[in-house]
Amino acid sequence: MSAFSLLGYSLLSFKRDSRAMATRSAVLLWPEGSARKLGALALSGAALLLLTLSWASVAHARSGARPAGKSQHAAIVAAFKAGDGNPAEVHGVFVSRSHPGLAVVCVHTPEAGKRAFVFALRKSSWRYVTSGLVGRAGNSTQRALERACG
Amino acid sequence: MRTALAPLVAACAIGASVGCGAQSSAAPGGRGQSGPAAGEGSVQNAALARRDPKAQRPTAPIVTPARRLGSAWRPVASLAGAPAAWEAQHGGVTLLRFDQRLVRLILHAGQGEPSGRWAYGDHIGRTEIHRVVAAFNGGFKFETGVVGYMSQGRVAVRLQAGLGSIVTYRNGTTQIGAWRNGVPAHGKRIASVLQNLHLLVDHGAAASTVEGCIQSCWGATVGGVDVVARSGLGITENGQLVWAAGESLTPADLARALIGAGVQRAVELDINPDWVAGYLYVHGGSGPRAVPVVPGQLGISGRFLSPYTRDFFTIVAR
Repeated sequence: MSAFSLLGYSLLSFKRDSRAMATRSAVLLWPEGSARKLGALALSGAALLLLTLSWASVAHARSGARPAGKSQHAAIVAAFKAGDGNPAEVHGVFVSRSHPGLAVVCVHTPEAGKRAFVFALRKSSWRYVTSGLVGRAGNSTQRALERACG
Repeated sequence: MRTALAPLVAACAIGASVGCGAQSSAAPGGRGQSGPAAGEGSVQNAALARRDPKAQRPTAPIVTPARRLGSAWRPVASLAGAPAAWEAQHGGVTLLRFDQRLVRLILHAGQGEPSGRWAYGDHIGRTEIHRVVAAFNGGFKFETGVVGYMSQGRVAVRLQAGLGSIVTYRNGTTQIGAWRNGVPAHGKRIASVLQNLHLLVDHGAAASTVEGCIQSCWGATVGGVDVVARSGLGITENGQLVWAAGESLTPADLARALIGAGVQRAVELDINPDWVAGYLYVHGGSGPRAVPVVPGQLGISGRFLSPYTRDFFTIVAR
């Protein structure tokens, strides 16, 4: 959602409380009628955002994973980095609900799409298990977990 | 790539004569700048005879990445009508070959390694943007202890005797060899040096450790697997530079590919999927467009046209 659509959305909310003032503000910023268009745009944006968030939630639910807690996240990313991974490309870390000792690092690569790096907790430290395209690496449990990457 | 290899490299250095290929045959100031590979010599020499690049003003390169590649070299860049770069693919290895009479190698500092301001910094700069032909990854992370880095007289990581070194002189030519045992050339002013491990290829033969000392001698890999993304830079007898990379290679595969391309000496560059990538730059009205060269490469965000954290190389028209 862009800053402009957010501004438009705010303007419309304000309009409900003080229509005249909002109209004046809108006129100041955009030609007549633009505020309505921007409002529609903002609503579409919000709907899209909701849809994306729901999709992500569905992905997590289907994978049976939850986002890693702060300390777990740090430990798993550290293990990923220690395995010569690029932390700048990490866009999510999830832990299996059914197997708490299993985690996935989701990586968005510039040219090869999304990749999943699976880690397992062994002797209180996270160890690399397997990696590959999301949903394609490792055994069935690991592949299910990878789906959290979306 | 990261991992503390220092103790093993020290061990390699002790037994340098065989273990890690520290003997370099790089002739100081040697035959670095002679002609192209056999088979293309007559065509290219004729073109060069007509157009001496040194006698002309810098020309924008014409870069045309090949759509289908095989083991035969295909020209992918030309300058003033003369081929300057070739590409080939063989056995899962992508190879780029460069004629140093027409193009030169430039070592770039990354945003994070080495930090600070450098003459050639974390992205392809204004002085290169219209002349860049290709760019590719640099060496291991500095913390591994098997790296040396010097540029424009500044040392970021101390240079070590015996390490495989990519040495670029102020005259724009590059030589590869073992530091203090072949390079640098006597009396030539140095522009930059990147050292990484010991020579992977020397005297046209692979180092003896490529089969039996993979993780310790040639870098730790993701998950400890031997077959992983690898890259290297070598030099042929007639001074052409050859960059080789692939997503699933052992050190032996990489060395074999370089030797097959006529390389006499080579340095293994970075390894592991996140760090191995190469691009050709097609020039158009809106600036250069980066075209990935290694099938399956994960890629580098910004493709060296925007700041990158690690050191890298560009190949630019002279």
